[in-house]
Amino acid sequence: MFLKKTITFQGFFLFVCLLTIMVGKAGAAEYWLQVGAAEMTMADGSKVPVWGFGLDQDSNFTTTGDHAVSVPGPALRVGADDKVLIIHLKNNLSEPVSLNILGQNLTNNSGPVWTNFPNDTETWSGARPAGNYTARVRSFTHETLPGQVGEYRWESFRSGTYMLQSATNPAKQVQMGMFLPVVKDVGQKLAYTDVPYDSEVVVVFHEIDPTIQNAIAAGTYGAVPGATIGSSVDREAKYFLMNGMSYPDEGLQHINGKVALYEGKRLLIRFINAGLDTHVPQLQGLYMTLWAEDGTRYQYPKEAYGFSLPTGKTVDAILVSPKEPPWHYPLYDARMNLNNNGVYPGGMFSYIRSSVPDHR
Amino acid sequence: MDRIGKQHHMRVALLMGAFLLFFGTAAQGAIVGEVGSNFKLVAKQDVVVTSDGDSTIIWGLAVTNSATGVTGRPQYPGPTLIVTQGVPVTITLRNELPDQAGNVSLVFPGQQVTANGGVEGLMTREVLQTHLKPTGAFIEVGYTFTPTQPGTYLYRSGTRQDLQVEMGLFGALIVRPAATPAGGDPAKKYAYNHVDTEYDREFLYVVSEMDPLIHRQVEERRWSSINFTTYFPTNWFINGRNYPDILAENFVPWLPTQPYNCQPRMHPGEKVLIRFVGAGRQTHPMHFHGNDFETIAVDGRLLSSAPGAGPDLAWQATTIKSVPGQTADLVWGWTGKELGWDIYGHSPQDPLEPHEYAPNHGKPFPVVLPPRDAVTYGPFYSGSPFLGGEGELPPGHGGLNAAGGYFYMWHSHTEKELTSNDIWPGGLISFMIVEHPDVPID
Repeated sequence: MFLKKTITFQGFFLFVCLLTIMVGKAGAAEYWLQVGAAEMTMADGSKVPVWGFGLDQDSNFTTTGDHAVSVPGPALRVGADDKVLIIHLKNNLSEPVSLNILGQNLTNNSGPVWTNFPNDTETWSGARPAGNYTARVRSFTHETLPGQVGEYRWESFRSGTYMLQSATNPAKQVQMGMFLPVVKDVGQKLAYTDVPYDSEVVVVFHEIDPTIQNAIAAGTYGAVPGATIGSSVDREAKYFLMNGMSYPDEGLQHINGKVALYEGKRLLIRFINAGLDTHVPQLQGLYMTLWAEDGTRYQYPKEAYGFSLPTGKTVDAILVSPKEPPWHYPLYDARMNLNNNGVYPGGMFSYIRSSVPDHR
Repeated sequence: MDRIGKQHHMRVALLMGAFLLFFGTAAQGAIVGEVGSNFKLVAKQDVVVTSDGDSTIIWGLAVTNSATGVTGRPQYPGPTLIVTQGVPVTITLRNELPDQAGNVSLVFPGQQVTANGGVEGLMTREVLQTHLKPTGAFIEVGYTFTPTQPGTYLYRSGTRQDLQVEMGLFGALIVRPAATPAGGDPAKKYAYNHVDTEYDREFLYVVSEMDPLIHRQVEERRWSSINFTTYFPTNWFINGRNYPDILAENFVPWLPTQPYNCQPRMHPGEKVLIRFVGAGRQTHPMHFHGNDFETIAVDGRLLSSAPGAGPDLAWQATTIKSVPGQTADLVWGWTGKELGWDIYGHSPQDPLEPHEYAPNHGKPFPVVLPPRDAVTYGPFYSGSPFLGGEGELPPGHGGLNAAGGYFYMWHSHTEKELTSNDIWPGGLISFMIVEHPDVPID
């Protein structure tokens, strides 16, 4: 399966809006996700194997080809009135997977799942098997085995910006691309009780070390016979991505979409770091107001043009349009990861843009 | 155990004449830099020396004197630009970097900049590379902005930023308040427009790092070998120098391209403002011995609960992480408050020193000092535990603390960064020296 990255991510921003309609049961947001392998094309044309999530369009897991796997996965929205999030997960990989949303309590979690490492021939759920001091945790939450469908329920979903990620061997599966944003507002275009916005964009940072990802895809990574790479301890990222893209990908020329942000309008930027390194999102020329971290509203907001975004963290910022369109301001990693496999310019560089409205 | 009385201190103060002969004088209460609103800068290649004894190619910014038109040598980091809130600033940039170094530009995070001339680049307008022999409007770029808020900021290259910042094209920007804040004293200094941002002395910490391999590749013009995914710095700098060069005076002739030192000194009871700038690509946990500091501002914005509330959200800590591209303003003070003994060795009937912490007055030093030859003295020990004191030092001791100050190490707690290319001590080490009130600092 080939992932057409540019096409997938033109839709990435729209997903946030579209998926609101797709809620199933009253008071609950319900999604059908497939996880599978794909190949992602880097800005320099090279291809890297990834594992990612795709949204099953007809919610039945039977029609083939109706889900496009992407990295990051599709942004999911939980409605302001939805108390519950339900995810049905179909596992198309050849190893177990599981789900976890950082900062949210998975209600039907029967994990963790223990195995008789390194053979992985026997598993236990819940507490460590009595008297067994060599078992290891493989998954933080209950697993969905290859070819099967699992269900994950969060029955009191908190509002804010969150990241869903693999809870099985995260050093490997999250690195391969198994993460996606999950957002819940408190009202219509209201991120927190006093934080309204006019438009929004999710910006997910992550990096890729193709050597490791190729080894994972080839089954020669980790504590396995014939392993070429034992762990990620010597990881050296070569690609630095925002929403799965790197400069000069077209989608980063207007990372917030082709929208008009009139003077005084408020853009909500939901920053997520799904990578393994700390990044420093920096807006050049404007200040943002930082309103929340890990889905929790700050007691007092902070003005800054940049901030440290460690692995696993989310930050919600409001950018107030300083003037009528058109305008654009660079948004990039102030740690200067600005290359694609060592070649400048590239990497984590984009523009927040207010476009002249299209009067066709 | 000897007590050192007031008379003793006077004798120390008299010794300062000799001390100053050795150590010279410099304005210690203010940050040195280019003051004004109109700056002409030229990007050029030169060399810095590191405390491991190496010399390294850099790209720095040289200042063109607006009266004489003479351009000096470039410096690492670029000049500290000191401007005034509300006064329009113009920075004109020219490019005299070697052929193939590429275009050059500057960006000013936190400022709304208008750029004129040159060509449009990724982040801003750029001055064309030299081998294209630019003329007319292409020969320079002017960056204009009006700083709306006071505070500490930075500038960086906006062209091939990973390489050009690594090579040295960055610096600090300090915006002084337009006026004394409401309720303030015009004779005093304030960092922001609020009386609670008053300070007595200010010091700059621009923290950066270098991977010498990249500088060698530039020197040897192996441009295609440069790869920041394998970045591995081995030299770390405060204000462009590593320890112990950090301690030397500003503008010493043997460091012509590294004019700025980092040698904080103060008297007890003073408020010290530390303007902290993360200029490189790594984070560094800078740790301040001696007392907690308060972070009053980040990115040039006061930590306020509401406009006009002052730094009421300031947070207290002993370690601050330098974040690339971020600035912070820290306020630090020291009185010896929690030592539990009298730092001056007073008798209870002696008068108080300025800002002396009264509850400790006359309290004896709590331990018996071992005999001189029973211990090894550090180079910054004066021979006496008392502030401004002196004592007998063993033969061969450097006597580096003739004024009897207290040395507090201000350093990175990533201990490997206390080296210069694997030579210890080096890198991110500095010292705050608390001096006796009689010891002149300014």
